Amino acid sequence: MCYYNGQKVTHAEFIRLKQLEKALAKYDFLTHDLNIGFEYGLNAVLKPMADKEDFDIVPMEWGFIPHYINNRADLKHFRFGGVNPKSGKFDVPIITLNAIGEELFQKVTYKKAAMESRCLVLSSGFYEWRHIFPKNKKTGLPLKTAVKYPYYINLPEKEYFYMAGIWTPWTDKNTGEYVESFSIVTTKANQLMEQVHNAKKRMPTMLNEDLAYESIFGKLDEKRITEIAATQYPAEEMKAVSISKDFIAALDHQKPFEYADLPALEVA
Amino acid sequence: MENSQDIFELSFKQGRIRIQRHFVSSQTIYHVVFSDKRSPLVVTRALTDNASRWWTSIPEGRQREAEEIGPLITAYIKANQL
Repeated sequence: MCYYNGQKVTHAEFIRLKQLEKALAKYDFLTHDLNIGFEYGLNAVLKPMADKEDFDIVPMEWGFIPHYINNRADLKHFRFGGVNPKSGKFDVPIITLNAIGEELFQKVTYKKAAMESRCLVLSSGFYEWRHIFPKNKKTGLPLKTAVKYPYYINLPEKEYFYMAGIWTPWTDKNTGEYVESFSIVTTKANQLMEQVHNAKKRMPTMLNEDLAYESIFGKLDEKRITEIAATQYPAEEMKAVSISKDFIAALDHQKPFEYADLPALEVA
Repeated sequence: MENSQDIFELSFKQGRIRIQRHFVSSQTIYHVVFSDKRSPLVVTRALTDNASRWWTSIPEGRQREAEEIGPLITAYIKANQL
């Protein structure tokens, strides 16, 4: 007889529970409802195996870590900025959560990964902020400060979908810690996302299955990689709903919330 | 597509819990998210050596919570014929 959580169970049941434990450990990062980019946490990523015929689902750190970063302390300075101890000047944070699809081969940081290390980021949906400029009651002109409304965007017909990504291996030169990190590739906003993410008019490069598989398994040249990176997912297959401004703290992050002063989106 | 019946909310002590049913390795597990700061919990039903059923946490270590929340899940499933 064996014990699981203090209960006497059969040997077979013990093995079953232990196997379940092992399976859950592998997929634990899939059960997160919400991944916040600036927390630089782990996300589920499809990484092609060396033979380029199959892939593995692995946890990777969101926020591409360039090879020239030496250790975690340097990485923290890179990501969050601060006063440079050598120059005494303030270094601005460098954000590598997203990589502009049209410029992948113009950026030294991303060029090699775009050619050699493309991946797919599993997502069940994402969040963006819509900026609305209220009108001045006296003049009728828009105010300078926007009111921001969060939206949850997903594909109602798909539990998960793929975002194009690029990844890179990195080793902390002080501790030997090995990490794989990634950046989500972005493209110009489609008709729906132009209205939601109206400040930047960008969206993640979401790929259908054919393009997703071509992206990670295909022997592609710069032109084709850039074409795929610029793909706009059809707006009519996407859904965007406004959600509560405190959605991050909410139990259900995706619960729709209607604002009386928020104009409706034009349906794609 | 995710079945909306696979996600439900229940009252638990002073707060709420959000429960999502998953199938992992052909087995049913329930992922529990709390409204307070505690870590999410995974629970499942298991068999003792005398063939009676009980709720347990995966991995081991949070048995008390599993035994408190498990019966709430059972009641919800029965009430909603899931």
